[in-house]
Amino acid sequence: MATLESKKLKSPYAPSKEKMNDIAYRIQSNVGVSAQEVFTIRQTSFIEQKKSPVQLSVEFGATTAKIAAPESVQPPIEEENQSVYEREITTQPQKEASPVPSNKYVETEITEIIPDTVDKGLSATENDALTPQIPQRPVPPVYKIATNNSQVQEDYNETPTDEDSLNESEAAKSGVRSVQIPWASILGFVATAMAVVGAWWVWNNIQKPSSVEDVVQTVSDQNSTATIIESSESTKNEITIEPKLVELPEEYRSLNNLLSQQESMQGTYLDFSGSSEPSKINMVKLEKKGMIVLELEDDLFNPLRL
Amino acid sequence: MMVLRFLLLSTFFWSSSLFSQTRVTQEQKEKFLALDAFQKQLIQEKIALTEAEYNRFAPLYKDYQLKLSRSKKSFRKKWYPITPQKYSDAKAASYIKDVVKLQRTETDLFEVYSEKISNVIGSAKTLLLMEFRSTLEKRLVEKALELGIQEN
Repeated sequence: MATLESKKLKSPYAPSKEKMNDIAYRIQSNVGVSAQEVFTIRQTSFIEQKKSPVQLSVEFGATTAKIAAPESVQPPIEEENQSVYEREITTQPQKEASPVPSNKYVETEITEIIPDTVDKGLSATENDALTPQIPQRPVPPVYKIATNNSQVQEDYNETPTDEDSLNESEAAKSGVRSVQIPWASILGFVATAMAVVGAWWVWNNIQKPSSVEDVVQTVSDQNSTATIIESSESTKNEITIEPKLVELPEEYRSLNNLLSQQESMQGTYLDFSGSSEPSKINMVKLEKKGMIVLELEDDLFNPLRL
Repeated sequence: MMVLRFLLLSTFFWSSSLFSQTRVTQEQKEKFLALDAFQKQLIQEKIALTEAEYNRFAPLYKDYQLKLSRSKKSFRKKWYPITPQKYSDAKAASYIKDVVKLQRTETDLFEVYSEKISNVIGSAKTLLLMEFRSTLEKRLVEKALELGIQEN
């Protein structure tokens, strides 16, 4: 007999296959038709559990120890009662059995899991009424952990070997620990040193005034006297020639006057370069006191003074 | 810590400024005082200033001399040794520029202090001072040499 396909049903909701089968069997039984399965239900097999799970210790400070869990003992799955869907029809006459396969619910091994469809159209009570009684399967056993934690206690109390201590000392020596360099302190020291050096440099430059001797020496070096060459006396009669004086033309007289005035003006200022060394020293000291003013060495520009 | 560093640095700078002053012995100080008295005597004799006029004139004249010396010193420090015959065109132009600036300073000082001194002693005596200045300076140098101020 062809089974109904959910795709051909034009309904807003997608009922579960179990419910539909249940409804179908009820209807069929009431009508007197041999019960037939409407939808094929695939039964999922149990999921294999890990035989040796990694279980963390609950004790504080204890190392993680793998505790070998006892082998899981899966209870045998009871075969589903076939009487759930198989009902004896006694009240109503049975029709001739059509050549159809047995209506027994055969348990088959299924590899893939098909999720149940969501039941949308029915209310909660209706759903409860339509849902068949699911056989209660035995509760899987709870894997009890050893309360002694003997294994864990042994690991906790395990004393470090010498090899471990050596490893720790080597790590310390190699500088595994983070070393923090005090950069702020180093910069502070550098800044302080620079400030001290700068102050010392300024101190020395201020403390070193040019001495009078230095000034005198520099000025005297500028106006170094020429070496005197001793002339040898000659026995020859020296002939002295007197210069012949001529009258200066008029156009040159103003120039002559200007030159003579400049010579006189030069005499109004102290001749530092032409003075003796003690006089030079005195001139420098008097200038510092504000008693005299030393003019520049060049005579190109006439100063204006009170 | 920062306050201590600041105080330390400030102490260094203040102490350096204190030690930069000229220090002489008592004997040298007395020689300078004698020189001041000699200058006073010369000026009062030549220009005929009273005691009160000289007391008002002396600080002004000293201030003028110091400012003038300072400007000349700065010029000399920049251009020493002054060898115009060796200057290039650019350097000579810079030298002339500085000379003009110096002479402008001299003119300004002359204008200001001639007016101040004239207000104290009069313009006629100010002209006499200008005429007597060169002799005054030479006599002061001779007196300093006589007193032995150059000996430290």
